[in-house]
This record gives sequence, structure tokens and C-alpha cells, in this order.
Amino acid sequence: MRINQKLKGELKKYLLDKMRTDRQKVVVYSSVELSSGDIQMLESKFSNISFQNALYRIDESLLAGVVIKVGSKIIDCSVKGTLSNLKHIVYEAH
Amino acid sequence: MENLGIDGKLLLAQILNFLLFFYLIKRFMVKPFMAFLDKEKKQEKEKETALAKIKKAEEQLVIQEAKLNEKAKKELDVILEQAKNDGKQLRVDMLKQAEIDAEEIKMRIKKQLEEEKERLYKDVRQKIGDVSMYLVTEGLKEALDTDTRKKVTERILKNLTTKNITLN
Repeated sequence: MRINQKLKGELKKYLLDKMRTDRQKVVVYSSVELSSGDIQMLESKFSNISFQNALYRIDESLLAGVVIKVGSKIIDCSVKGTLSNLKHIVYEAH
Repeated sequence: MENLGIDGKLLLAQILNFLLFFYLIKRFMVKPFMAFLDKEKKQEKEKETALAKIKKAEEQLVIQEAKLNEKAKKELDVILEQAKNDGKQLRVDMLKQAEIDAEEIKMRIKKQLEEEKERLYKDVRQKIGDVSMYLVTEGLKEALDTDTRKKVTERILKNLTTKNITLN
């Protein structure tokens, strides 16, 4: 089956754009709504990440702290993540 | 002789008759009979000789049989002794093998028990970890109200050092 070259080009462009957008997409999860001060602090701490178009979502299971998702990568600074790390340390202690 | 009443011719004829009769008897009756007796005697003798031979052979056979019995008895004794020794050796070997097998089984069971113990220990450790984490999480959920969560989040962000943080 032959695909229209123009359609093919547009589809390719769309997918590449989407991949680029997804790669740069930033989602910040927190257990409570972050104040503007918190967001400023985040921006100052992670200067290499652009928080301009970031999405902020609430996840109460985090207990406290934040989880930053950049594309497919994750930075876990939550109490839940710390407990999870502690759990792994306990498992691998012996 | 005629005066005595003996007729010479008759006497001569009688003598001749007697001689002829004697000759005929001897020739046709006594001789075959004697030959028959000799033959019988000879056969009897042969029978006796054969019987003696058979008897002798029988005696020899009895002696031989006795010797053979003796020999067989000796061989049987040797075989029995050998079998006895073999049995003893076999018993010793079997005992030795059984000891080796028992030791192997013992070691294997010990190893299995160690593995089982280790597995149980690991399970228990994991369960304790899970329960502990569950209790801590649930406790924190109960204990942390919105303000506290905010404060903790602020503190985390304030104390965050991005030096060691890399994007996963």
C-alpha cells in the first residue's frame, strides 16, 4: 500500500514534534498544592529544567515532598520515595 | 567150547555186536554229550570270569564314587567358605556404602534445611519490612495534616541538594 508522501511527511513531523514535546514535558506531583514560593524554589534548585509549561498535580499518597517527571525520567523527592528506598535498604541489609 | 554150550560163532558175533554198539554209542552219543559238557563248563568259567571282572569294576566304581564324593565335599567346603567370605565382604561393603549414602542424605537434608531456613528468614524479614513500612506510611498519613505536609514539603525543597540528583 502506497502512502501519500505529503501525508507521510506531515505524520512524521507531527510524531517528531510530539516526541520532542513529550521529552520536554514536565509534570510535578506533590501531596499538597505547591505555593508560588515552592515553585520558585524548585526552579532555582533545578535550573536545568524548564518549569514554564510544567503541569502540577496532587498525589496524596506521596505523603510529603515532590516527584518531578521530565519526559520518561523521574526525580523522586517525596517521603513515599524515601520510605521505599529505606525498605530496599532493609531488604538488602543481609 | 561146544561142550560147554558156547557157540564160538555166536560169541564172536556178540563180541562184534558189542564192539559195534560201543563204537556207535561212543561216536554218536558220548562224544557230543562230552563236548556239550565241556562247552557248558567253559561258558560257566567265562561267566565266572566276567562276574569277577564286573565285581572288580563295581568295587572300583564304589571306590571312585567315594573318592569323587570326598572331592566334591572338599570342593563344596571350599565354595562354602568362599561364599561365606564373599558374604562377609559384601556385608562390609554394603555397610560402608550405606554409611556413605546416609552421610550424603544427611548433608543434603542439612543443606535443604539451611536453604529453607534462609528462605524463611528472608520471607520473615520481607514481611517485617512490609508491615513496618505499612505502619509507618499509615501512621504518617494519619499524623500529617495539610499544614504539616506543606511544611515538610517546604523543608524538603529547602534542604534539597541537586548536586547528587541525576535524572533517572
